[in-house]
Amino acid sequence: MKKTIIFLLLLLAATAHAGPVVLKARLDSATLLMGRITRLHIEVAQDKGTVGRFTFEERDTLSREVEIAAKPAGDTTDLNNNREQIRRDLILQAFDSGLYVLPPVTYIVGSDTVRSGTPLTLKVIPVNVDSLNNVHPLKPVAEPEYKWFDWMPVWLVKYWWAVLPVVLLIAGALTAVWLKRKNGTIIPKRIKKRLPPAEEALAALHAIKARMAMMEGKQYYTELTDVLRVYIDRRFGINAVEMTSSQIKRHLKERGETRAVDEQLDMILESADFVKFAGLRPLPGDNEAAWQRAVDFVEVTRPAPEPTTGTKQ
Amino acid sequence: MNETVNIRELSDLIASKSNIVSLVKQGMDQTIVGQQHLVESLLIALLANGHVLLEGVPGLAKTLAIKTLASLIDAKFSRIQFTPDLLPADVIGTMIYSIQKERFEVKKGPVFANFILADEINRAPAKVQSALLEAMQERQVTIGEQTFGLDDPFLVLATQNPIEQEGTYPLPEAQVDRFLMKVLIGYPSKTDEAAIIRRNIAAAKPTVNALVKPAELVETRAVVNQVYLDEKIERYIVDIVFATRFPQDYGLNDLQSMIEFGASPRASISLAQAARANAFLHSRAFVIPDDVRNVCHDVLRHRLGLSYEAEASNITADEIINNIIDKIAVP
Repeated sequence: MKKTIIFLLLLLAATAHAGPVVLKARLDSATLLMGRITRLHIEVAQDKGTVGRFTFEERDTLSREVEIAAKPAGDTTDLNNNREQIRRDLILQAFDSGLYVLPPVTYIVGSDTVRSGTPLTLKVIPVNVDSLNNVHPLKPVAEPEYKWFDWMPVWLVKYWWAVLPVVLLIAGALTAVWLKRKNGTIIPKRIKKRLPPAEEALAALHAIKARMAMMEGKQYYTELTDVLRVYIDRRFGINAVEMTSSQIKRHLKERGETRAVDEQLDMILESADFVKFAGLRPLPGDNEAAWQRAVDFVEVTRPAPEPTTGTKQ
Repeated sequence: MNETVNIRELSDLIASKSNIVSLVKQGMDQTIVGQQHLVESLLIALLANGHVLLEGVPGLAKTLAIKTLASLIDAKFSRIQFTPDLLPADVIGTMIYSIQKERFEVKKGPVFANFILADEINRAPAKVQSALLEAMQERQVTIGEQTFGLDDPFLVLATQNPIEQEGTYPLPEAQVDRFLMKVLIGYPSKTDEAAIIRRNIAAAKPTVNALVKPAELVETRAVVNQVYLDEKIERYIVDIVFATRFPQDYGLNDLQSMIEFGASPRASISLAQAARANAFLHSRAFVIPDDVRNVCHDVLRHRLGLSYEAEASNITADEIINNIIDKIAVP
């Protein structure tokens, strides 16, 4: 019996030592501009190990006009003496102007309900909107700015470094084909500066004379007339290479510049036609005479040298 | 100068035979005013043993020319007017039944003559054209089971009207190739036209007498065949003909798209034959490039197949030939 009484006394003493749950709440600011936010600080002091819950956890408004915008996580601090403090903040936001009395914060521990003390008031201040002066028309849809490469496909922009050498290679090949077709060669031939027509013809005639003895009549007269044809072509601008003897004679007679040597040219061409096309074999004297006539023709028809206009002092 | 071929002897021979040409030319001048090219072309064809396709509007003395030629050579002349209902038998002849002899007998057609004018040859269907063209080529005709050789000389002058093409049967390329020359005949000059009027309204019409025997003409042809054709001229002819086939090889790239097909080897032969005859007409024993050029258009113009591009651009065969002979170097 004595032991039982002592146990009951100890249990009573322990129960008499348990502290109360204290709940405090305060606002950062009692006024709030419409649409802005403010913080509600909540502090709960209780014995360690006490388990409780806030009623706002299940709600997203404190009242009809005041909304809970966010519920950041709380923080627990050891107060020693077997006590602890729980801190929670609520982010509040209101969109309707007016003075609102916030309901007390409720904390339930077991079967007990603890409420914050004095009700808090929050004044929501409206925002001044000058609708007459500050209303702007809707801006049109902005066109994106185009760059020079916007028209190109994405793969080309992405892999231009691989495409460029291929394009250059194809362009080079096409140019080579074009040059080949135009000039008959890719690398253009170096054009030798030609002698004046008379000098060129005389040089060729002297070269023929040097080989005269070794040549057959047909070959000799063919080369002789070829030299004259080229000379006439260059000197008089007559396409003599593609003309027959009679055509050359007719063209030169029309010009009248070769009147003095028309007869000589007629004789050369006539003799040449006989040798080339009739198979006649000329005598050595005939060859010499034809050569001399050809030289005379070139000498007589060569253009006169241009007179010098003055001398240097 | 010495001679490797006997040109001087040949020249003398040609001079002796050239009187035939002079006689025929003088005789033609009695009835034909102007049309020198037509007369020369007929003579070239006659000497080269070829046939002539003549293109010209009606009334340009085509019939008169060949009739006069036939009269001058004392030869038989036939005129066949080609029409759509003409039959091959109307040209070459047929077998007819003789009641008296109680058997079929050959009735020779108008093709059996020395000179034939095939008037408006493109108005008859292909089978009739073929019958005549085969006779021209083979110089013989088969009727029933008998084959008959045609007379020598045998010259066909076929005409075509260039302005009326409706209802005609254009000659196929293979058959037109059988004509040695295609000659284009134009209107006479004012002076010639006045002379034509004077001659035709005169009371006395000129009479044409036979001046040459057909045998003499055949002999003359043999001389023409002796006219010397140097290998340089052969190469020149070959170059011209090849340029019609492969113009790009002769620096004539522009012509490549204009020519559908070039001249055949028969064109080369014809060009050489006609050039020889032309040399003979000018009393020359050898052919020079001028002879080739003189006959080049007449010999080649009907042997070139023009492309659609050329026809659309109004490019004629003569323009193409001009381009070619202006580009080929003369030997």
